[in-house]
Amino acid sequence: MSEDAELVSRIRCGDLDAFERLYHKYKRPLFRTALAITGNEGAAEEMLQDCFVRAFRAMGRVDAAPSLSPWLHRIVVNLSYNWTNRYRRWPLALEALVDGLAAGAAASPEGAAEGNVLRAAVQDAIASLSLKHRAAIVLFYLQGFSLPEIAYVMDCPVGTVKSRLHYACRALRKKLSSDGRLSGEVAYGTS
Amino acid sequence: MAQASADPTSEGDIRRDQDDLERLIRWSLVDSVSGAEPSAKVWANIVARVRKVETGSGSGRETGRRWLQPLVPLAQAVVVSALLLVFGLGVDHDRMSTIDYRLRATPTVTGSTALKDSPDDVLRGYMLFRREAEPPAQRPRHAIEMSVPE
Repeated sequence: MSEDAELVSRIRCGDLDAFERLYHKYKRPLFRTALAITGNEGAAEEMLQDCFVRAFRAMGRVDAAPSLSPWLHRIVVNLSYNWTNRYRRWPLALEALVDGLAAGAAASPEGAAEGNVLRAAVQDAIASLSLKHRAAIVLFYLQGFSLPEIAYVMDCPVGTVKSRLHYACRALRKKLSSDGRLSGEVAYGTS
Repeated sequence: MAQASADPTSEGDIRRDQDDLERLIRWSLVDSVSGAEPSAKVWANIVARVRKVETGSGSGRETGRRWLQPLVPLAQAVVVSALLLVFGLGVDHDRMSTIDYRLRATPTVTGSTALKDSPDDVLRGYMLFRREAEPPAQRPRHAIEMSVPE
């Protein structure tokens, strides 16, 4: 029996400690997925909260044989869709988030400035993607889900996931190539 | 993503492809959220909402549904049994009433009415005679059915 299956059976018996353990196990990836899709920290926290309340209500029906991660991500991605559709916002806050995080990352001031420009350009490019393309990119590159897992999370065939990733990457390449802030060397030099 | 662009249908290619654009996307995404953590109040809010659900003060309809869920198969069985019972009784009742109807509705033929030489019989005989005189093609269909045996 997997750890998740054991936790689920304990939660079904009313064990809140098991539920807390489940929360701490998955809170970071779920929060980061929601944040990467919506770009809003408050919304991501709200989604994390809604996700676990929904999960608790549906605990009697879930099959936790391999892992609960795809199922929980499915809830969060659906909540992200709803939120984005409701507020029609694009993840502008990501850029601000990146600025704060990347301050100490670069070794030299020149490197930091270059890194910030590059980061801003990539973030803008990702933010310009459609919601479904962005979600596919986040699940694949940030969370490292396999294509069948993403297909389950996004409730679509595997072929559609491949297509979304392909077109999203093509759009990002095009966007970055035409970005005036980046020269040719900077655009694809990440080291 | 150079290989993936050429052949987007191969999962292995997409996975293994580590060209600059893919690394750039991954690096950017991971970097953008790497230090992000949900605040402690999230768990506190979840616990409060979950307790509400458990005690039933949250959504009465949801709680009602949860409690009623195990009773659904039982209710279905009762409904099906009731329907079968009603259907069975209905079939029996119908059969009995049909038999009863047949017994009661069998007409009693009295000999005197059939043998009386009434004006109707004369008219019927005249019509029969006329129809037999006509060729069979022109004869209306119901004429055969209406014909009275002699």
